[in-house]
Amino acid sequence: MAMDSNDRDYTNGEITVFWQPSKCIHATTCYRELIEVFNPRNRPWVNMDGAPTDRIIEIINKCPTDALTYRWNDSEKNKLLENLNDEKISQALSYEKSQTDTPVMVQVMKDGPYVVQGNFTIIGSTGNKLKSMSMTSFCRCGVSNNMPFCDGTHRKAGFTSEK
Amino acid sequence: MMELIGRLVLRVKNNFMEKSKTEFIIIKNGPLHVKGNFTLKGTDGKLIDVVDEVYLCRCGASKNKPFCDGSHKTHGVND
Ligand code: FES
Ligand code: FES
Repeated sequence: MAMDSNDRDYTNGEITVFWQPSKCIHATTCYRELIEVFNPRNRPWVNMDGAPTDRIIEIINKCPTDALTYRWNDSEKNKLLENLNDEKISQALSYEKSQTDTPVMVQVMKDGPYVVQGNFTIIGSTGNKLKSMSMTSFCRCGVSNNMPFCDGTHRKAGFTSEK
Repeated sequence: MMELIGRLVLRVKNNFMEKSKTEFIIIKNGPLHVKGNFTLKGTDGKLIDVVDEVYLCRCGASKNKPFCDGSHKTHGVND
């Protein structure tokens, strides 16, 4: 994977977690589900001792982008993972092909953005077509500095969606 | 007969919707207008029943989240 100077990795001896901030769409899944490991208030923000390996993997698999990925430190186990990934990629490709008539999924995240997956077009208020995408998150807290997209500011702003 | 025509029109419309692009229209200092073929899932992960289009709150102040209720007029969006 292409390394960016902001990319980080963290290990617990068993697996290594890779963090690519440029790919994060702030879906908030990681820290909402496993704050013991993924705590944006802490430095480093990933604490590999916060939960068992299988729980960390479970949450990484829920990350909607490649912002969080992992590898086993044991090369034998990694081979299994690679096979699994190949399977996932071919599944994703055939999914993409069939996607023209699959509804776009809009997921409202608690205290966070709208996470959108599928084939869609974003149009500005003047009717100008901004871009076509297949995955993004739109701000719903009102204060992102990268409108209309979520840039994670909802957390600092203390946005609560439950009232 | 009328009913039949009604259904036919509905069919044609649904077919069109399926093939047409799903659009997210950003309304300046207002909501997110979503139209086309999409599903909406709430914070509890359950599907929310909607028709072909919705206006989703972008200002954070709606009392009827995730939908826009007009509160943006006094609250504003960082657009
Ligand atoms: S919802 Fe994330 S910055 Fe507004
Ligand atoms: S955008 Fe209309 S109430 Fe928030």
